[in-house]
Amino acid sequence: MPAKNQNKKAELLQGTLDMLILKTLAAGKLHGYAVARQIQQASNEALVVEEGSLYPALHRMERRGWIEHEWGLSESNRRAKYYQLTAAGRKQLTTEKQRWNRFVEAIAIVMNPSLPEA
Amino acid sequence: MDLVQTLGQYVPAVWTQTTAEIDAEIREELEFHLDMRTEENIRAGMAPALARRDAQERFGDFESSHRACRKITLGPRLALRRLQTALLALLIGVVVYQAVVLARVQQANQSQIESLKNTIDQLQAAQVSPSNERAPVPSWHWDPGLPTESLTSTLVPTVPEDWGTAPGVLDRPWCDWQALDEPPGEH
Repeated sequence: MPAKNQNKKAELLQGTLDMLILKTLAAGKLHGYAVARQIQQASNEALVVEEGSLYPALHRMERRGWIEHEWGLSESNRRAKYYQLTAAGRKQLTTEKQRWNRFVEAIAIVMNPSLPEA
Repeated sequence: MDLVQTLGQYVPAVWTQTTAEIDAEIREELEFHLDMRTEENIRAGMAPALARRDAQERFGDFESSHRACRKITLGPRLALRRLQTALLALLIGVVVYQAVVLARVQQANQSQIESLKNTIDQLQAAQVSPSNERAPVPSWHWDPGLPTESLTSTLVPTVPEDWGTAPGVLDRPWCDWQALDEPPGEH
């Protein structure tokens, strides 16, 4: 069933994208474009953020109270929307990190069964 | 300080801004992204037109992204609007129902009033006739206004002439009257 598979993929990407955004904003307030660039640069261009889906993710995270925004002036002296983490966002980042680590460990065990468990 | 500014200090912007303002902000934010990518492409040596096209391709469907942001940001407000619509529809339904019931009750009352008026008119016409003549009264009807000599004809129901008791029956004692119910020849 293609639709079901597509949903599963989208959910996985969405969860990952939220974690990456939270991690990027932990360094300070940034506008959307800078968030996308930071993620690409930090991953040595290995991760390319789907720019069209970045903004719905930012708006959704803001609605959940993980981030908040304020309008300011960009480096090119243009009005831009800057996002920053809230206390709830920092807590969520910790949760996401733990979940991600468990996920990576589980995948590693499956892929390399000979490795001793951590 | 006006009310909106006062509210803005305590209420999230999504509740104090108009839908058009929120739409414009989302569009401004997305346009900013496209412009930044275009500028970066130009700095990297692309021609402006190509730089813009590349930025748009990287971004994907602008309107779809705008709609998604709008839906997320206006979510609580859209939910409230749906609730308002549902309540309004319910209110209109109740008002229409009450109006229909009221019209029916009024119609029923009107017909009852008409019926009572007709009855009153008939009774008045029966008691007071313009020519000072009395309207015909049923023979069983008691009318204290009639002269005494006519009481017999008014009080006693009219009985057909061929009705009557058998000769001599009423001369017998009342206790024998039950014999009337018995077949002849048994007493």
